[in-house]
Amino acid sequence: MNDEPIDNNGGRRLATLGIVSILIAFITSGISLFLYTSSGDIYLDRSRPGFIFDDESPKDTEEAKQTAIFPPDGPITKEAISDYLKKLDALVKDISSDPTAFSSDALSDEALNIDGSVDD
Amino acid sequence: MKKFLAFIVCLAACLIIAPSAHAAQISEDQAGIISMTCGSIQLQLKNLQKADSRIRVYLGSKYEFVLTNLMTNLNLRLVKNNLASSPLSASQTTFNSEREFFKTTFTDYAKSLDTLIATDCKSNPYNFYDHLEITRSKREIVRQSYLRLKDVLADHRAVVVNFRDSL
Repeated sequence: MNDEPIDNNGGRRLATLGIVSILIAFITSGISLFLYTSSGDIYLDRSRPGFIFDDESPKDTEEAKQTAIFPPDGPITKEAISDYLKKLDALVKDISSDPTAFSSDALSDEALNIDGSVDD
Repeated sequence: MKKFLAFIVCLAACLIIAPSAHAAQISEDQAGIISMTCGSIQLQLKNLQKADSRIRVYLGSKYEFVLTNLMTNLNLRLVKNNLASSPLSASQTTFNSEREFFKTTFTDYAKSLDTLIATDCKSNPYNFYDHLEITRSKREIVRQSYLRLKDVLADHRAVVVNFRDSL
């Protein structure tokens, strides 16, 4: 006869394991969400719920990207630097394509129609 | 007891003065307009939020490309050819710092805009307008950073042209 006492704590341990696992999941998810928000990634994530929009921004092809790169290897000649300037100018043109970027007009009283004037 | 009464009087005075401080910024008519058109304002702000995000992502990728595939590569090539130029290294550092500042200020502005959208403009137009002012000033900082980055790129170009002419 085996006189060893039967361990009846199995169910309780299983429940504890489940609760601890859920708590760990909540804590790690909370930390992830905190980092997602505090890093500012949330404001760049255009796939977040309620934020999906028609993407109208021009897409560069892989080939175009490759040709826009200035290789780190090679000689330093006037021609090479001119090539660099050509590539730089193309990018600067893209960057400057929207002169109204972050302009104050978008948040003005007039733009929000709260300036008190009546539209006819 | 007197102290307690004095505290109550001060508290009441503060509560009375606070709304009039808001009233100095916008008229009652304007507050009424904000309350009435709250839904439309929030929709406009949400559209602006999306547009800003699109511009931020677009500019961010371009800045990243300029830094890693142009400026860094040019400086690397110069080092490999024993022609390292301190003005060009300095312009790369300046551009990187300003780019980081742009990212930080945009996040700050985006948070403010998010809070503004969540503010109940229908029942609390004065509070909404106060927050609108804060968001405007943060947007202006982003704008200034964007313009400075353009200036840094223009300065960098001038340095490269000088370098080319010296060859």
